[in-house]
Amino acid sequence: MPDASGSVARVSSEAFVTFDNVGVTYGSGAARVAALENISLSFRAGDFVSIVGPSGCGKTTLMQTLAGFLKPSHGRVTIEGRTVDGPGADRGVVFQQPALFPWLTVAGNAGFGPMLRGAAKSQRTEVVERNLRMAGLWDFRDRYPYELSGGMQQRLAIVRALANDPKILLMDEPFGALDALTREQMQEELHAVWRRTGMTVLLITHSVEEAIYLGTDVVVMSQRPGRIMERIAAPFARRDERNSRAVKSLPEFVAMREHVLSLIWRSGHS
Amino acid sequence: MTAQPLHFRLLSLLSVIMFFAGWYAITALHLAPANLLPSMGEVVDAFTDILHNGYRTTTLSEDILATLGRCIGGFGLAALAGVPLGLWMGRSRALAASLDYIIQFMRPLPPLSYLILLILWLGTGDASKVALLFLSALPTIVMASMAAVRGVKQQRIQAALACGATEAQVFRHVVLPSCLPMVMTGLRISLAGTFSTVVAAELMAARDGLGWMVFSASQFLRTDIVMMGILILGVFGMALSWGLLRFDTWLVHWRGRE
Repeated sequence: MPDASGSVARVSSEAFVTFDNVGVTYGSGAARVAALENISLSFRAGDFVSIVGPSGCGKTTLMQTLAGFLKPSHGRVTIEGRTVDGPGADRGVVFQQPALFPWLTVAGNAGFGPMLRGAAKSQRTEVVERNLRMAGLWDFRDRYPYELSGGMQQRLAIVRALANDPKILLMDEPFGALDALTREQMQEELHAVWRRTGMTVLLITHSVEEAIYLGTDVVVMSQRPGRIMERIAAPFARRDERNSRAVKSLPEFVAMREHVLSLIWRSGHS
Repeated sequence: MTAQPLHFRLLSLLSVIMFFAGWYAITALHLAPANLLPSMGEVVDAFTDILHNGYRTTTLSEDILATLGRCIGGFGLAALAGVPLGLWMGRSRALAASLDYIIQFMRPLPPLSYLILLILWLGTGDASKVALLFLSALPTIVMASMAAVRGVKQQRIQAALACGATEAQVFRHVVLPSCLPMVMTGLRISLAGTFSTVVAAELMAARDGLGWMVFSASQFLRTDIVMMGILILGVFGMALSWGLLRFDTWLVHWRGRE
């Protein structure tokens, strides 16, 4: 059962992020499509929120409203009480395709945010070195992104986002393009980063198993128009034991997985 | 853009050797009238003669420099004007719309069709030729640069915005470098076009240049000089393209590797 290890810092009862009756529609007239409808959701600092749902349920759209890439058609999104109005360095974003800058070296990508802020060179190299060492990419600092494997590229994309000390990390299917083994390894690394930093994470994924394994909260969305069907508190992310195969075959883990899958299954066939 | 394996390069070389061998065989066996197809020896003789004595009023190096200068001048000006204009058009729908028909009109227009107007306006000197090359190179460069801006991956821009980039920083640090591959391709295409146009321009009104030399020699049926001029033109055309290609592979090291 939930094991409140207390190792996650910055837990507060205040809502950190809120979606307040958010709706997004595309197009107009007969071609009008509702992507999201009546999304109300809030979470606290330090939460790891996983969002799962069938394809086309608006998971990505939901993330984009928080990232500030997309303005909701109605309702509002707030972070620390302030309405989101455009993108910013306080919300780190990682996509399924790493979207790295191929003209910059690994170090250049890792230090992109500090470079934009005009941080002093010494401070920049310090941040870059620390982050690259943590991600096991230090030996590749002078290489270019296209010389890295898919898993390393995605690690670099995460490093690039973390270099800005964001308040929240938004990840859209970050491991979707990786092979199964790399994917499990990356899950462990992401979990370690979350435990160490106490950062708030919003993870969008197709993998129910991943959502439950990593999330403190699992939000299940329905087929278009995307609505929230259920929000489940998942205890596994805060467990100290990190034997992934063992955790994923616990009876309560399997039960939760089957429950979420049946929700998605039902929504997809309604 | 990796280097060709050795056996493919030998194959390329072989075809060149075959060409010269065929040429030699035809002239050695007198299969073609000598005044229409000079022998290789005659062409080499013409080359050494002109190298030392020049052709009519100009030296060979003057002719080569004249042609290259016009080429690089017209192309360089077109690049300097066309790349920023195209990038701007890619950003501004209004600007793109206002120039769209003009560019579309200019692009397929044969440059020689308006050369005579340029000569009337700017005289028979270098100005009219450089203007011709500028106008013929411009549309390709503008179109490529505009398409490059429009093709920048949205996620790259979003990734930069989420790193705190301002609009200006996005343009400077993401849009510009993202455009490099396509802009460079546009420049390479347009350079090849410029080189073929410069010779045509020199056929009509010139007192120097490789094109002028070839045209002038042809009127005296000096096919040996014509042949030599063509070979020099070809070599310099290849060298220009190769130089720009090398610059491209150095600058856009990520081309085709993303």
